[in-house]
Amino acid sequence: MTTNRFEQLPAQRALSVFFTAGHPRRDDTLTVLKLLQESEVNFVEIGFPFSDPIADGPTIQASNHTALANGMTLERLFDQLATLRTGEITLPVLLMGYLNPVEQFGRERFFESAARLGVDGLILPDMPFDEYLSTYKPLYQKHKIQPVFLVTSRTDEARIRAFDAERPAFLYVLSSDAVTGGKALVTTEREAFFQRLAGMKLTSRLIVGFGVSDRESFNAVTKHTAGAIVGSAFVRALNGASQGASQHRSDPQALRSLVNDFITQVR
Amino acid sequence: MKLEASPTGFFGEFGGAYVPEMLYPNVKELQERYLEIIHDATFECEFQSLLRDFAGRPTPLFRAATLSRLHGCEILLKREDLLHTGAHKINNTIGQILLAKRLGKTRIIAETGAGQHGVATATVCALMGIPCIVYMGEVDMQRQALNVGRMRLLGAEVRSVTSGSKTLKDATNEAMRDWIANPHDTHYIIGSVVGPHPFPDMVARFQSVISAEIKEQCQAAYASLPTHVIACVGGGSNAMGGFFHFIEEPSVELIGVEAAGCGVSSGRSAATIALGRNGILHGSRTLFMQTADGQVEEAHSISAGLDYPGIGPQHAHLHTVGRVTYVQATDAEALSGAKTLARREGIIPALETAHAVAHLSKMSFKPTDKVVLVVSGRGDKDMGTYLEAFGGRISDDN
Repeated sequence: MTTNRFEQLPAQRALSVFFTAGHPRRDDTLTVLKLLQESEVNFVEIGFPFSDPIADGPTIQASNHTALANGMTLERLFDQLATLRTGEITLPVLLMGYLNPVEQFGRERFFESAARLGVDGLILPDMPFDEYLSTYKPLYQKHKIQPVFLVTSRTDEARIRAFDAERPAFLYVLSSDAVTGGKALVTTEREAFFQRLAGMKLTSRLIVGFGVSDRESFNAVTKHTAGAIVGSAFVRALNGASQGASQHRSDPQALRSLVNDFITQVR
Repeated sequence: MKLEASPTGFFGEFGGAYVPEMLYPNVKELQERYLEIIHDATFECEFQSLLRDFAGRPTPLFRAATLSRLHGCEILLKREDLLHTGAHKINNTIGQILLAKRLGKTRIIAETGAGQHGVATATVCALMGIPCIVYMGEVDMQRQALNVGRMRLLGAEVRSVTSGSKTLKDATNEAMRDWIANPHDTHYIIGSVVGPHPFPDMVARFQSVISAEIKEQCQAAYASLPTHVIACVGGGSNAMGGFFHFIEEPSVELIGVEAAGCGVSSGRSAATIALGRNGILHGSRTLFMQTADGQVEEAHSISAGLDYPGIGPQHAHLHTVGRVTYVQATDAEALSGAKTLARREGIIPALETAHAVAHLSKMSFKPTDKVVLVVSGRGDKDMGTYLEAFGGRISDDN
């Protein structure tokens, strides 16, 4: 029944946005998702919060802590996503987060829930590739959820080719040696890295993340790649929706103008 | 039993290297090179001479006469508190700084809880002329102000960590983020048997000098092995060091004492073995205190060095297979243990060590028992806490 929703992505300049489920308010998840689709974002990563996000900078750390303080859990996220594919959401949706919450929820149960609700991909940055091959790959395959692997300027070619062979949704290319929200690499190093990747003729899409925050950085990193992900800058923009319509929801009008204004500034 | 890391760094089901791709090359380089480096004869020679001439090894195994009489057995104190910088932590930092030099690293980062590991790292960095940055929780900086001053005097930069519980767990997160941002020139000197493989195994090897000496000293004095080794456990480095060479000696009973804070079931404790569940924290699969949803819980202990929600993967394994018995001591029991050691033996121990001392009175011994207690550190850094806790009663006779 499912088609591969990643096939609908444009070959160039695909824009993806990351946000943390439960931030700024607990029940904003589907609203933000709909607004991103309205703004013609091409795909979305929904972060599920963890208390100790070691690969994230201050902005996303804070959004994780807000989400947890708001009472966000995986259980609740899956409840919120119950109507993900019953309405108008057609864009590819990935979940992204750390391994421990997945393991405590139960691996099989996690994959089963995500697949049932129409989630297309899952990014687990602290999952070792060995453990993907031994333990997680069968779950990804069984539930038709696509993996994503991170690639940095220090990832060697053999490893990149091994990632590519797993037919991921895309390769998540890091534009910097830093946690999320940091500065991108200096232009010359970054260009050389992207060109090296482009020269490898990989079958996977290259999507750049970390340090992409505005039109200038989006244009710069998508010159040699298929698209980019904006994370921290969007999460920071959402902080502006501090006025709630209710205890657990931000004001939808405030959210709408924040999301629209933000995406207009990037595209 | 043997305690050996599998090629991928597992001890039974615990361990491994759960790091994001940004840290993969650093961790892989360490995995591939640490054994070759530490087994190299020049490394070994340099390591041993610094342990002897700079740190002050071997440390005595002191027969505590009063405690021995009180408990009706031989109580032997392994005096790591007499080491340079005041705790066992320097055994590891000497090893790791020598390793960092061989890896060509020119910048050192570390996390610290009580500040002892931070001081030990700042010390070896000063010795070697390498810049040092120490991450320390804001809460710990307040309760261990003296150690902050020591690190700064030694030339280290101490960075205050204000995220999460503002203690050791968060300082560890922040050090890992620094390593992600500075992978080329930086070595991360982890202070305990925690973190991604090979850190738990590497730190255990550097600390294993403690049990190597105990074994030799016990043989010399009694022509036998000890019957018990007791040590406090936070992340678990002094305990791993104290247990290491006895793990394959089934006659030696090994006991780790965790911090129960206000009580194991009080909701304010750091009793990881008692309360922890299998999960992934700080790069390894281990036992740690977490919510049903997999969020790491904040620990509490009067001792900043034990105030950590997790434990090293070797300990998780040794507990699971039953080779080591893990027990708990509360804040109040530790304070009383500290007073006992001060009054009976003239040794003011660190609050961490005081937990191990406290456990002695819960045990019963045979007259032939030879019980080694690892005095992991001295109590200078904890005088503020002791004064506050004992208040006017500090001059009580008991």
